Amino acid sequence: MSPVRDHQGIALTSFNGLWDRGDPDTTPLDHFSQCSNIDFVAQSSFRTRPGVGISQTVSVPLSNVKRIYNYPIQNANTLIVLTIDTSGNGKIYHVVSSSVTYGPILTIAGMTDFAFVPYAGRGYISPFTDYNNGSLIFQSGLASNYLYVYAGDGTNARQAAGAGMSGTMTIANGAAGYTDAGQKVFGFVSQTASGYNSPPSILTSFITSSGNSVSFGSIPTSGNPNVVKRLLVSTITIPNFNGDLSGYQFFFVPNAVINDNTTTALNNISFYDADLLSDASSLLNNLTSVPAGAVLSMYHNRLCLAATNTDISLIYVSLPGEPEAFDQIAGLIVAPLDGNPITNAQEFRDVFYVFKRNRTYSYADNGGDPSSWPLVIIDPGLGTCPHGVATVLDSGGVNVDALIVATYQGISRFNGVYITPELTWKISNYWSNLDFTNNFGKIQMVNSPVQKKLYCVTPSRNLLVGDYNNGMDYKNIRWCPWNFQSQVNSVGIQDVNNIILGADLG
Amino acid sequence: MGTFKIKPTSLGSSTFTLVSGTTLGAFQAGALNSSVIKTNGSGALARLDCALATSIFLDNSVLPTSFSSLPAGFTVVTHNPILNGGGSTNGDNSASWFMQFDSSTESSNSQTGLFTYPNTILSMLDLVNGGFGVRGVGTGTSDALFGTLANGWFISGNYSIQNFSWTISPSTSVSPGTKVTITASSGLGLGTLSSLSIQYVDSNGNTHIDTVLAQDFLSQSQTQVVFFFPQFGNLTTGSTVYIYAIDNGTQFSGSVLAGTLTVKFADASGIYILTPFASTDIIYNAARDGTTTSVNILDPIIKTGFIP
Repeated sequence: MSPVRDHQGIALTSFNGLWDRGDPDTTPLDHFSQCSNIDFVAQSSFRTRPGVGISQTVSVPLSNVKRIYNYPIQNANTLIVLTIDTSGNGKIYHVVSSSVTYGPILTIAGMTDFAFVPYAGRGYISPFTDYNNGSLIFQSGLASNYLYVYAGDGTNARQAAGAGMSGTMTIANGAAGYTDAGQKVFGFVSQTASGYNSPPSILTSFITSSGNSVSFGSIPTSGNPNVVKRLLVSTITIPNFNGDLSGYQFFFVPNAVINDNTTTALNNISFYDADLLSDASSLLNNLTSVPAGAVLSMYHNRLCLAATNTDISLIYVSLPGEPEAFDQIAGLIVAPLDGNPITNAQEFRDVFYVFKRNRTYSYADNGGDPSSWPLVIIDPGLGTCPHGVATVLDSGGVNVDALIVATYQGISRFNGVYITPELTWKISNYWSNLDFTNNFGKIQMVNSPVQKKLYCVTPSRNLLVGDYNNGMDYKNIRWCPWNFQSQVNSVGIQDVNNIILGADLG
Repeated sequence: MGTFKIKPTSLGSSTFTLVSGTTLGAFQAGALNSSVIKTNGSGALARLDCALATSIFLDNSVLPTSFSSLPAGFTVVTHNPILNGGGSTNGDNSASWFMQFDSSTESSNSQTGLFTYPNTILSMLDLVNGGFGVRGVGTGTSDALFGTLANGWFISGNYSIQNFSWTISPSTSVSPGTKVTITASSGLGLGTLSSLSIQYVDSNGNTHIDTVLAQDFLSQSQTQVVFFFPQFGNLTTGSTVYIYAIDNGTQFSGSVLAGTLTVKFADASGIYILTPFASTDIIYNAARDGTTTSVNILDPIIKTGFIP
């Protein structure tokens, strides 16, 4: 019974988060017209948000943190972290544990953000930064910079790919052996520790004898200290040699490998033309240096890089299983040109989705070269930003049946189309008031399926948390902004359930 | 309503060359000796720098007013850079010239000496720190752009004084996360503010702007706004930060200087981990020596909808 005569009390029994849509007076009784720093418990309770603790216990912890990525290695789930020092140099560190930090493994002046993909235990790093296009701020690869590969062992990251060797070698008949007699062109391919094969080089012609093997001397070593092998390549016998050393198809010669970068001789190699089965000519088309881009993603075991400084709508697609091998003819995809850069790319249900700030496209692997993959325009009005697809643990952006994508319209589920109403329907005013003109690129999201929470770093540099324990749909998700002492730049998940925040100086 | 001029104090950079026998005079007080200068055929640019202490002249005064001494409520209403003191330029009509505010905002080809900044009204701090410039593009090596420039180069504009009395508390030793309260005791109210623009100049002379949106205020009423002070970068303790209020257009347009405060540097940046059931935030100390400080979680708040 109400203690006040003639007044029927109103019981507030459920609390479903922030409502910021239309007039504040239309806020339903089971929502808040204003809230911050609260966390939802079970189905209908709330409490103060959890506190933060330090992640590093070292004597000099990293400061001015701009970006964090998960980096799973063989025996741990580690972090790759970007900081910016007082001179404006971007420095990337490998945080192995709370007490062990490697680096900086890469230092680049002007790097304000970076794209990252872990693959086969290594990390692939692409530095990028902001640029102005009219009144908007976009992101593209850092000018005159490249894709880097990091081995994960604390050694410095190095530029990916690489040029072939230079110099000359000598060729002579070796000991008794066998070849198909006739004119051939020989060369060497250098291979780095990460498995990248350079284009054939040191091309030299020689006429072999049927009863002799072939010996090679004065073989140059590679100036790249990361080269660990040199592989002999050869053409088949050329009936009418026209003098063009690179105009014939090359093959790897079986059992003709120098397993170091110091030996200068390879003797007594015998082979028949019929033994030459593994093509090496495709290496001639590969890029020897891969330009930096704002987007890195994996699709069908291919590394995809997009939005370089000079080609903001171009996607470089590597060969399958060879993340440093980009065919500069067949490995290119040109997204529709509209003056906007590609901002994100994500594989979902075997389709490769490519995003711009307000466009979404798809490409499907038809078994042919990437340049032949068909384009489908998924949405001509919605897209996302460089970190606007929510990551789930270290598995990229896929969770169950949909991607979670931050668009100008709101945070939406995407399963091939953008599902409406968007998840931020209840807080549409809050979302639309964010500074997308200057800071759309600041958005980063993670999805914790264990906690059933979405964590979104907003352009305001706080954390917008969506609790979906009651269901991931626009009605039942519960939103609340969280603020901290520092401005948050980055969010990630480590070890299944730990939410990591990166904060900078502002 | 009044008028102001922002006059350059120094020539930041120039790629103009002088016709033989002429000189570029001093830029102090915006005076430029009559000169004939040319663009070298391919174009040239002169950037002029201003100073907060000596560049602002109110109501045709011959003495400058420092930025920190501007009257409370000072609001820029209009602003235009002027070449040749507002008169027309003389010059070779085969050449073109363009006026600039900051180096990325430029007029179209004009010979009337006026250029209205597109889209928004800048604050006085932005105008002074941004400086202005002029770019000329000629068609030959003997293009003469300007005949007489005796009246000098400056930015002119109109200002108004918004009648209000606001106080900021605390106003000293403010750290990131400090709960700051702006209280209106008279004049303009605070209920229609759409954001606060927090501006400061770092040791390199670069202006930084942090925006606190109204939706991120802890509370807002006609007489009071409460917000958490954001991280403000690597500023030394005691540095001055300017708080500008931006209205939603109901009470005023542009921005109004709400006041200033001094900060206490506290580097709480780093990598943190959300800790379930933790009742405080543990943050790195500003000394960055591995020690930490326990601070209260910034006030959790809720406000229900209208209860009939």
